[in-house]
Amino acid sequence: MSITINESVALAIKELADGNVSSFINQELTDSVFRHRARGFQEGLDDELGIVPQDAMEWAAQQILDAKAD
Amino acid sequence: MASVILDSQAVSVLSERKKSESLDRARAAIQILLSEGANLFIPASTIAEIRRGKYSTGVDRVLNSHRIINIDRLIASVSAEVLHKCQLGSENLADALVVGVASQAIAGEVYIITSDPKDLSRLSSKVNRKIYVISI
Repeated sequence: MSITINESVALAIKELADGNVSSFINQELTDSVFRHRARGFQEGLDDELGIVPQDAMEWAAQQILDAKAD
Repeated sequence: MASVILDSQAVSVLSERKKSESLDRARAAIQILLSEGANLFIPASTIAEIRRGKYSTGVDRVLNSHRIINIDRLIASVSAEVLHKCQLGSENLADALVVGVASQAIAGEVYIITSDPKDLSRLSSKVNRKIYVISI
C-alpha cells in the first residue's frame, strides 16, 4: 500500500521528527473537552463564591485592552 | 483562537478559593477570555512549583479542569534561550518555562495570567511572538 502526501504534510512530519515542533501544538488541537471543563470549573466557583463582581470584570477587560495596546 | 497560560500564582489563587481581589480578577480575566473561545493551559512545570507538599483537592480541581502542557525539547530550548537573552539564571527557570510554553501555542493571541508580571513580561519580550501578560 502506498500513501501519497503533499509537500506541506511531508514537511510537517519532518519537523515533528526533528523535534522542531512542540507537542503543545498537537495537544492544543484536541482541547474542546478542556474548554468545557474550564467553563464548568468557573461555574463551580460562581456557585461557591458568587458571580464575579462587576468591578473585577471591568478591571480585567481593561487589563486585556492595555496588554494588547502595549 | 486565543490561548491562556496560567502560571503557579494564578493556579494557587484559583485553587485556594479564598475570596480575594486576585481571585476575582483571575476569574474575571478567564471568564472574558473563555467567552472569546480561548483555551486554558497549565505548564507541567507549574505542578512542580505548586505541589511541594500541597496535595489539596483545590489544586486537583484546577489541574483537572485545564489542559496540562508537557515540557518537551523545543519548549525547554526556547526557555533556555529566553533566560540567556535576559541574562537570568535557573532561579527564573519556572517563569521561563511558562514563556516557553506560551511561545509554542498554536497561532492566535496568547495570554499569561500571573500575579507577578514583571519577570514574565521581560522574558516574554524575548520570543518571536507577542505574548500578553495579564496581571492579577
